[in-house]
Amino acid sequence: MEAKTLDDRQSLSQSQFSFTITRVAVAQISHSLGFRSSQSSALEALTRLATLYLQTLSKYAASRAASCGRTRCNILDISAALEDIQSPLGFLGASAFSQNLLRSSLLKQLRQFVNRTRELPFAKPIACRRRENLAPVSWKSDSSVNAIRGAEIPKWLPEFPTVGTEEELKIDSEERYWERRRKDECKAADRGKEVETSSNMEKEKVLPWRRERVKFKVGMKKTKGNVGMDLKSREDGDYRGKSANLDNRDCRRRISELGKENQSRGNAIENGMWKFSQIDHDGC
Amino acid sequence: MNHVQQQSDGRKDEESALTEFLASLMDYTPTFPDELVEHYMAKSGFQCPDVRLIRLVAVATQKFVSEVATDALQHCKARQSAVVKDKRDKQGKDKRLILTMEDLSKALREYGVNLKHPEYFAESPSTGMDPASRDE
Repeated sequence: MEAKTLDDRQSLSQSQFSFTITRVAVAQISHSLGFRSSQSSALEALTRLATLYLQTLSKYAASRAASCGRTRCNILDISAALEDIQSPLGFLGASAFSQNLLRSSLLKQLRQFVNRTRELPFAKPIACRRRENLAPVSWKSDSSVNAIRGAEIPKWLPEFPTVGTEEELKIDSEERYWERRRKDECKAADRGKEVETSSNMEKEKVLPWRRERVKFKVGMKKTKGNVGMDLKSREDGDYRGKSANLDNRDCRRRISELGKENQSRGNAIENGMWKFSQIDHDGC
Repeated sequence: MNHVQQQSDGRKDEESALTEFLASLMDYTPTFPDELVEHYMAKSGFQCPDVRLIRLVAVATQKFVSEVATDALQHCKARQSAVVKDKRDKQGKDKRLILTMEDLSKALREYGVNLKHPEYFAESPSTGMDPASRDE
């Protein structure tokens, strides 16, 4: 019999378990008032009413707190919720809208109820399921981190992100964060190492982590054969624009190459052999 | 000036009384356990780590249930006193008070809750009646 009872208790859902406890408390209250027995339907109805009252009171208080921009409720929210529930029946001081909620007559009635009513604790201790015994919620089958969370959180919500070092979480080297990988690459670039790609096997020069600031102005002056940047073609090859302030060696080299190309294109245009559609827009 | 001082003194007294009441809730154990009330509050989105407010809500619920049960008790006693007047020989047996749906529905009608058994078709007029009244 005890094993069957234990199995029945384990098979109860969360709502059934809480409803059963509420029913015991309501039966205790009815017994203290003078009832010796009760119809099961009447007891169930009164229990359902108690749960609805409890949830409605909490909902009204939470709604009021949210409307005030708070996530946590206080006694003002509870006092307002009590007045909202009692308003269809009426209470002393209901017409005074400007009255302080702390001075509500409903709180005074609760105080009188506590003073005159004999204390009636719950009959038996509740066998609460401790949070450590809950099954860890995890979307990964081989997750080493047990995410333990409360029963009020739906199971279909994803788990919280794990917090910890790589050694604690035992993250594989391939699953390192992008930031960590990027940081390592930049550190290698600062030391002047050349990164060889496995596919191309060619030397790739990595830009240093800290570079000097590059300033340049783009002008729309169209010279003979030159498009885009204001570059003066010089025989010495020093292709610097009027407003150019190029310090980067690579950009200077590219600009010089561009200047030579433009010079050749300009000659082609003069000869009438160049078409506009063939202009290469590949610049520095 | 004196009127304003009296008002402020009155407010301080009431606030101190409320503070004492909340402190006394820690010594008073409501019938509804704190874990149960916390569960229903969490379902409704009520967040508060203060145990005194949880007990305040539990006391409010207990008060509501007590009021409804008391009204049902009054209806039950009134019904039994009307029956006892007709049958005085069965006075000893009918002292047991039983919470029935009839009394509960009458009590909840004042609170605006409509609790009613659905109508059903029976084989005979005495089906579902109490054995005591069935002997008639």
